[in-house]
Amino acid sequence: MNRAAVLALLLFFTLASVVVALFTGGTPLPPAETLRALLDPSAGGMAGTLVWELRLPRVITAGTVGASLAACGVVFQAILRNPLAEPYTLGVSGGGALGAVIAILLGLGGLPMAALCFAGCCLSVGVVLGAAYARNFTNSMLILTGVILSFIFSSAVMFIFSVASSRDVHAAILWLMGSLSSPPEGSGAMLAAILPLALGLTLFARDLNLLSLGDETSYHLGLDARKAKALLLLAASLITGVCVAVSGVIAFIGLVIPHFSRRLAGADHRFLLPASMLAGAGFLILCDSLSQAVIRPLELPVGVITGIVGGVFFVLYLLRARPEEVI
Amino acid sequence: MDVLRAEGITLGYGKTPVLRDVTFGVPGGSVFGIIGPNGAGKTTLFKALSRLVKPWKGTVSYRGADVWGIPRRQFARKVAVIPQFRSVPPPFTVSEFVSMGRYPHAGRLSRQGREDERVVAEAMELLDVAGFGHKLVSSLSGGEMQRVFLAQGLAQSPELILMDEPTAHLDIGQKIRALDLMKSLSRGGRLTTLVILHDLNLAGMYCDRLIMMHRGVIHAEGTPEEVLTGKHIAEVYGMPVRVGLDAATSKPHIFFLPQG
Repeated sequence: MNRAAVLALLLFFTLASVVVALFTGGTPLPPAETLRALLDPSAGGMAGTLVWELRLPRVITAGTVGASLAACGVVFQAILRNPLAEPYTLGVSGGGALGAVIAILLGLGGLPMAALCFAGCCLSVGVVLGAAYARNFTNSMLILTGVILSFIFSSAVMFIFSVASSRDVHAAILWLMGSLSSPPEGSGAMLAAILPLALGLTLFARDLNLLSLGDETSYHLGLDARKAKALLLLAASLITGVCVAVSGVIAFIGLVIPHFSRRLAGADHRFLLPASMLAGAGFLILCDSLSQAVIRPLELPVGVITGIVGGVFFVLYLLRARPEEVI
Repeated sequence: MDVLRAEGITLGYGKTPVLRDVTFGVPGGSVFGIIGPNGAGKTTLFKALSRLVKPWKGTVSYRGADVWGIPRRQFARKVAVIPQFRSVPPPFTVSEFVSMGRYPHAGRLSRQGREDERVVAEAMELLDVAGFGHKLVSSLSGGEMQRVFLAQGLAQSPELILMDEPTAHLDIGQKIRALDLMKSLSRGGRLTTLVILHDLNLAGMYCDRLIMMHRGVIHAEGTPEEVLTGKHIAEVYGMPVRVGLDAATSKPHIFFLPQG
């Protein structure tokens, strides 16, 4: 399929998922009323509040988080040249989660919490990169370091849970599973800040192409791989940190979406990045709708849905993919 | 004037020098060959020449300027490097992969222009990979992949191309076509080629000048007739050979003499 057609198709998918999400939700509303509220924003009333103040902001949050996590996955996979790399497997989300759990138990929210998340993400990336540069780690050793870091961070979280009061723990556990139902204060502003950053990654599409060929080829084609990697990893950590602060740990988006998009749009990051961002946005929006619809009136954490849907989808994909199509 | 010049290069790994005081010049528009047995220091020399590893002592200069004083990107616009071992790339198509050769010429915000497309199409045509431009590089055979790597190098529109054993994965027909191509580009004066070759007969046929490396130093230097002598080959490779002259090309041809 032609690349432009793929992007158009994914754009259609994302827009369709927005429509689905606007017409469904935890609180039922007849489609006719939803439509009326959408067509007349000034009408107000229960339907207006529901659509404009609850559903739409939630769709925007889901879309931004989904697109950002997918973009980060693409960046990590290109830089580490490993199909398993993503914020979750590299321990970046885990570091962020540790920061967030500490923030929750300290009663912090909003920006201070995001700052702790970012600090946690940077800590993991710093350890992984420090190991890479100081000890000349191979890429698989890097992934291993990330996986082990994840375990250490989750043990640290467990430790905190086992000494904290049970009420705080319940809140923190629910949040850890990843949910878009109650983003902390200031989330909108933080997401508005990282969206341009995530979109800006597309300016580095050609650098990512080269980095995915390895350091030596990058070098001979004139790219300063070290500088480009540091810059891109810093941006990806910042984006991941904000996503974790806003919505907890949402697994698999950074892994499944880039692989799926690579299958459709190819490995060229000029297409792969926008394709992944569109697919990631649509996927998380749909999963979030699903999380509200499965056992109404209860709401599942969306991380549970992405974990199950994404995991099953990924296994099916791997079973069907030809080896040369996977990095 | 020499396009590339090595002046007293000493370089090694750890504390052991692999190269000792290597000096030579590559004349513009020539095909320049480096030969020698395994472990002679050819690939280490290649790393120094391609500005990948800084020599302990001595300098490498490109058109009179120290290569370490030339910014990397600018160097990549003039010099293409095709290393011997490359991992199988991610699932890029052949044309995407060859297009990456334009990287050092492109600005961050600029799109690939007409000129870029023309250069890429020409490189793909020259290496006969245009027919499968939409195929994934990772799905190609070793020989096809090697041609795609070479096409990416040509897409840099280099003045100098450095190749470490570029014909290793090619069959004899592909070897001859690839070397013919390098020779014809050099003859046009557009390109200078420096190439490490294992096959002494191919080196004699295609190179204007040769250096024969042995244990980290240049053992012999000159035209193929001067370098490819029975004496030199016996000294460096430790085996007797008979060297004849090809009647048609009057280039040296080496006949191997199996023992026992």
